[in-house]
Amino acid sequence: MSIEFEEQQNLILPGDLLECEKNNKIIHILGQGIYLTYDNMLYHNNKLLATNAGIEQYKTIGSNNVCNIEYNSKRYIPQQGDYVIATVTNSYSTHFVCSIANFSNTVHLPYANFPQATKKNRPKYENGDLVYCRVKLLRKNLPAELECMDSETGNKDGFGILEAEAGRHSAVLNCSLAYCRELLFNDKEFLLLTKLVKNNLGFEVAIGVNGKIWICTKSLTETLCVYKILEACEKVNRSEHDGIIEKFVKEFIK
Amino acid sequence: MSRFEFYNSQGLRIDGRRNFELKNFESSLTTTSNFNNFSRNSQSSTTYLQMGQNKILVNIDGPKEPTNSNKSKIDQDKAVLDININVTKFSKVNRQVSTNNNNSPDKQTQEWEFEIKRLFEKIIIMDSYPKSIINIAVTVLQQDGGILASIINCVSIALMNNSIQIYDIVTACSVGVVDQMHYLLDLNHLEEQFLTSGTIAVVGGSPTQNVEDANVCLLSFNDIFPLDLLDGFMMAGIKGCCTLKDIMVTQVKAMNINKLIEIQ
Amino acid sequence: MAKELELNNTEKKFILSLLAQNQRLDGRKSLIETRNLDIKINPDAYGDVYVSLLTPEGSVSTRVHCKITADIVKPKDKRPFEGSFYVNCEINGLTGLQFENYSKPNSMSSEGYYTRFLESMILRSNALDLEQLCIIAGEKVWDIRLDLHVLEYDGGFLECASIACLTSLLHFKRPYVEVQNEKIHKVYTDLDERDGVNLGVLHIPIAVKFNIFQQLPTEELIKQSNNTNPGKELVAIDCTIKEEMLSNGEVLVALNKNREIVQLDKPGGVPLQSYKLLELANMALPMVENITSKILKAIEIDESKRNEYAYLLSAENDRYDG
Repeated sequence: MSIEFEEQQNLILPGDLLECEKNNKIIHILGQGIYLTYDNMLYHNNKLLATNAGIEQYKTIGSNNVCNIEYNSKRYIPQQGDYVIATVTNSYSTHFVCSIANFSNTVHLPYANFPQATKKNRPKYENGDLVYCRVKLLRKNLPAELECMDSETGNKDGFGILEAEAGRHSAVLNCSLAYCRELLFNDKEFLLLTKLVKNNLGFEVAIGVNGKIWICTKSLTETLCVYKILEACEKVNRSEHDGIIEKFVKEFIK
Repeated sequence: MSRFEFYNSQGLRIDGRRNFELKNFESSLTTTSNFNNFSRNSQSSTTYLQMGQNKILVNIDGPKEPTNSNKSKIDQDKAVLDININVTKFSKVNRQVSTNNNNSPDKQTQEWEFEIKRLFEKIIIMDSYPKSIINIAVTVLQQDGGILASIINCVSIALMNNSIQIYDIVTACSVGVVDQMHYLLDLNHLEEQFLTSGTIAVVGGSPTQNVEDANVCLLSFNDIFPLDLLDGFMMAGIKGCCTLKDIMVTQVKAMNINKLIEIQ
Repeated sequence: MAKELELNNTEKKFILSLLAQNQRLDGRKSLIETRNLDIKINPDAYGDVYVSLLTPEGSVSTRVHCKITADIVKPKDKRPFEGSFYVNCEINGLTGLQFENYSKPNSMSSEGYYTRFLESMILRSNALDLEQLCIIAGEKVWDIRLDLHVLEYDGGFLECASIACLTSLLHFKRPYVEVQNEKIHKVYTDLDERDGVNLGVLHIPIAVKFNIFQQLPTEELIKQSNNTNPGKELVAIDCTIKEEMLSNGEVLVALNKNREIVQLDKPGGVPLQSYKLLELANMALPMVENITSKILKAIEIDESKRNEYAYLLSAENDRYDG
């Protein structure tokens, strides 16, 4: 069962009634930026209102209808289950202290949250290293906790340190949170990234929803080229992406 | 503008020195603490330098664990340098009346602190003292021109005295220009007041070294000055610094022998 | 509690290897290329200037607002014939979160040091003629206050600020004062009534900052000085904030176009050979000339806009031309 107004893109402002409410659709899971009013204790009178200015999005996951508001914000606030790129800033006897965004609260990455963790076997990360990980736990009075494995299976699952192999060059791009989400979730089959690959730009990529994109290619100019393309594409419409890619590829790789 | 003849036809300056003649340089180590004194053990000791009429005391405390007030500053990998310069109010001819009541250092002193901190951060081997702080307290008892150079020299000796690892000795010297052709070394306060002057600091200079290869680690120059004369200015300064290093090394060696005898 | 900006290892490595290949992260093609300069003068006031540095793509990276105000005060007892000049630099949370608790009274940050550099650059070189600011000796002088606000910060603060200071000093007009019998008779605060008086700017010093990137460890530098392999260090102009964080030494040079050093400072950092310092000072000269002409041009354009109808009032006559 899908919702027919899925494709609609209308800007909604805080306090507005959601589209699904107008059409009497049932939403099972509420995403970010939505507020459920309790003006009447009767179930039917509850209303879904927006708390952020943004675009409504509807999805169907299994049998559940999911609704959230896609909005842009500057500062990343950790949410459970988010994939992030964190920077190691300090290490203690039991955990690393990581920073997810500049000027924000630090988060912890305990040594126990690595695959095959034992007391002796601790990962050797240096200060300033980038780690791709997931937000495991949010607690009220303590810093958020990250994990570097799938805690259900105990597999590595691609988490871990982001490091260029010898002879390869990596870079990290800071961009807006919405752009990262767009690249990760909304871009159908990673349209922008596929386009890059089509232009003979082979690269590794890791996207953290905290506004960091890590890229790695085999040469410095290619890295700079991809960096520049991703940076420029953030600010323009999707239709203009082709032109930008062409321009930068011509500029850097003749 | 100048009422004085800073460099006369006989090649003498107002205080009777030749143009490249340095001031009287005398330093003494460990003036306060005593090796036999248990309560003031050798963790910190004071160095006194007299360079002409400049009289400077430097006390180095550390490397030590940071106290509560500056705990936030600590670096996991290397030491942190903390410099305080206290220019006493009686150091000049006229007693300085400070306008601010909270005794905070004036802009000039802050500038010196900043420059000296940046300078010694690269000279001290900071990596060998992780998670610690090195406190350098400078007291200027009397000043007579070229005070920045004297402070740098004194800190340099004090670092040796406190056995803090440094790559090489830093020496500094002030240079002035008369009539855009004569360079004077190690100025006194009259010369500093009326001439274009600057300070230059060299690390690891030696008289045998080619002047162009000298490693300049600080250069501070605050007056208007033709660009083409910069060459000569630096040459004069570097030469002065190299000579000064010789003097400094001989003095420190002489003093250290005394100290070693004292211990035995 | 504000935290420091952090750079991760990937970024550090990337920027440094770009610099080693003579490229910059913001699209500039060489280490000694400056960002584009944009000078905007507020058409409704005198001495109100916005200066910004633009990246090659045209977005603003650093922006500074500079405004001059003048006041009549009593001079200091020591110098009865001179007015006073004061630079106030505002760097706070608006500029960047790293500056949020910026004003520590007992220590100087590098921005504080740059501000001090600017002030003494203008004062000690007599770029601003203070004696011209005297109205009645020992009684009344002008007090010129320059407020600098850093609106956006991505490195290049010193260059940007020095350009802004000098542009607004050149542009500012103080009200005309009529003195009768050693008393101020009238101050023409309304500049429409009577045109203001320009400040006496004797020469135009411009500050340039060189950032040094030294790959070699310091001990090697100091010890191998006799058989050095020159050119190991990279020197870049007009660095962005990320590059500034990575550099391990800087040289600040203020020059004017008469080939005069107004101020030269190398506050610590990695040691540099003396001939290299000379080279840098000489390298700054063409840039200073370039910037000076840009400033003068911006003022000229503004001047012609203000005096749109000047030719109507002009007494010049075509017949006597040439």
